[in-house]
Amino acid sequence: MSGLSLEGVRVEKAGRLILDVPSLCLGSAGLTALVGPNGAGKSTLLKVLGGAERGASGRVSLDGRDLLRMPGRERAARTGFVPQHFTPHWNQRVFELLELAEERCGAAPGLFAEAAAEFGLDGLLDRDWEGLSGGERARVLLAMALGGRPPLVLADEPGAAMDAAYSLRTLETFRRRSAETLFLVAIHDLNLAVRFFPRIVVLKDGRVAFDGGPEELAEGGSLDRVFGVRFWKVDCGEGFVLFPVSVL
Amino acid sequence: MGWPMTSKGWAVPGSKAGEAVPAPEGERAVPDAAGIAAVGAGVSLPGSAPLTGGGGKAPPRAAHGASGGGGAGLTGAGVTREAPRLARYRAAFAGAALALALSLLLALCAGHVWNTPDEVFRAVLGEGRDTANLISLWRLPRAITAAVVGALLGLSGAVFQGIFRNPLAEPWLVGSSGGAAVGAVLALLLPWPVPQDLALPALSFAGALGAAFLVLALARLSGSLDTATLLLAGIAVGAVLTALRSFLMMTLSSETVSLQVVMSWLMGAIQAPDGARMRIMLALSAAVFLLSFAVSRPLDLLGLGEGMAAAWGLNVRRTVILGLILGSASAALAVSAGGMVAFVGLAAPHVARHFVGTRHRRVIPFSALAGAVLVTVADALGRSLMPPGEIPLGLITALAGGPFFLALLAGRNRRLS
Repeated sequence: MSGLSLEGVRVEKAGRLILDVPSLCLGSAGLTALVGPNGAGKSTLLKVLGGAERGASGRVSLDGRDLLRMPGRERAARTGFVPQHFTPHWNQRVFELLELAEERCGAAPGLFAEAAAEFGLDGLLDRDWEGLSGGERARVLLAMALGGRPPLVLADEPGAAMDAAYSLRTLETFRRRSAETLFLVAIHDLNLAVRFFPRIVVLKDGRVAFDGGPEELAEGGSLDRVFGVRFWKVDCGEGFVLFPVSVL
Repeated sequence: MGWPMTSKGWAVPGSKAGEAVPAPEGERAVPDAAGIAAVGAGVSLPGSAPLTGGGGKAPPRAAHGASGGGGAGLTGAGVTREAPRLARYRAAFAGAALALALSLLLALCAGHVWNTPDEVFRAVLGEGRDTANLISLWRLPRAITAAVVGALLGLSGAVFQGIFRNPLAEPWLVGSSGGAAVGAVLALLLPWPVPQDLALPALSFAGALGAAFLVLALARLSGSLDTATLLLAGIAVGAVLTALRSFLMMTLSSETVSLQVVMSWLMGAIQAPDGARMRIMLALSAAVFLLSFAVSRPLDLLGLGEGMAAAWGLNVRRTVILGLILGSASAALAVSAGGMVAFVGLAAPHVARHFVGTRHRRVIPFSALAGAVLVTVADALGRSLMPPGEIPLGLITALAGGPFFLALLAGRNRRLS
């Protein structure tokens, strides 16, 4: 079976069920957004898939192989993980971070140099982390995660620290690569989600509350239920925007 | 829509692709490096100033031209194959190696009676029997031991800082020096069925490792391996061990074993071992040094944060345990050969990161080199400045290392603000 699929994935912490996904197939390529209110389990799900969160039960298979029980380095080579918060401890230079990312996944030579150029990092290679702006940091993180061209990219709020231009560019990059890569992206901005992602998975209280396309999400009223907010769907230009009007 | 990524896509709006180059790193580094050389001159011999400048004073582009040896593990991945960067690190390593050679020469010259380098060279060639004996039987083993003790402290400090991901971590702070000291005090003050030469390193290691694992266990008890917890546990264990050591010294000392021996050792004193012990010490130190290359990449990953490290396939727990064992072994070897030497384990890794970046495969060896230079010079000064007495090594490193470290700290804060 190809692609990413989850079966009976559960995470419990201190007796509380944080994540409970009985079955979810995500295919082998494309853009899938992960939305939901705070604490819905988006980050937990991404961390479980990325290997940053241990202690999940169940089965996750990526191209027929068990992702949860795969040796760390093998899993790391197949997944590009962009965490929500990344605070390295040593104020590394940009090239040191890229160097580590390159060694991690044993990428073909030149792939990361290419990624550095692609994300506009050529002039930043000798700068240190603390001296970078939020947008620059986000680009470094993306280059680290995407440089080795892993088949699965897990990004947790990649655009949160970016201005509008950068966050659009990031999603454009994802879209360009989505033919050969599966992107699972936690995203707060519902309008970016409906505009860029053909598939949207909504989590609430650790469970999948909705799984489908943007139109469907906006029409069915499930969005209102999940967020406890009434949304207006306002048609405009190429599509529509969702506008939160009142708390239900 | 589609933005040509390579030409201008990610570039900051309004800047051309080629313009994004930041202020050349070298230019900012020069005053810093010179500053370090200036402060460092306080610890090193007068003649060594131009050497330290090899990495610092020379203009950065010129430094790239300097060919250097000793750049262990410098071959990097594709992103870093750029020659200037590697050349800069090689130059730093070459400068450090040169500084070590000079400080060893100083150590051979220094003593109650000073010899000129010329006399040292002639003595090595076998001329001047008395001087030759003095130098080869007394000063050389001591200088080598001092260098090895310093290297071990530097290595231990780099490894501990890597595990604890805290620039304040050092063998002393995380309890392993304290544990080694308790073991060593037991070895010095109690009669043992084995020779003291064996009991001292064995008990030091047991003490250091025991303390490190106690710290780890305490941290786990509170459910986390994060930096603050580990450091707090280390400080608590260290305090208990210091009290325990004092208690042991009070109760175990007798007419036959002079407390003064223990006291002088506690203040740091290089004990130059004889041939067989020297070989054992060198072999163990070499083993520790080689093992440190095995943890350098895991420590790099750990430096990205535990979550990221795990996502990148690192077994965090195993790395922490391995690092603790390695750091403790290194600290114990240093303590058993040189007593308690302050500040070197703390300062050396900072010097290393200043010159060779943050990758541990460079930080650890450079930190060892820096530690070796520091202790060799401090020991040489200690036994020659106040003849016929000796100034305890630990006092000198603390006296010189304290201000040096403060200068580093001040420089860093200035840069950040």
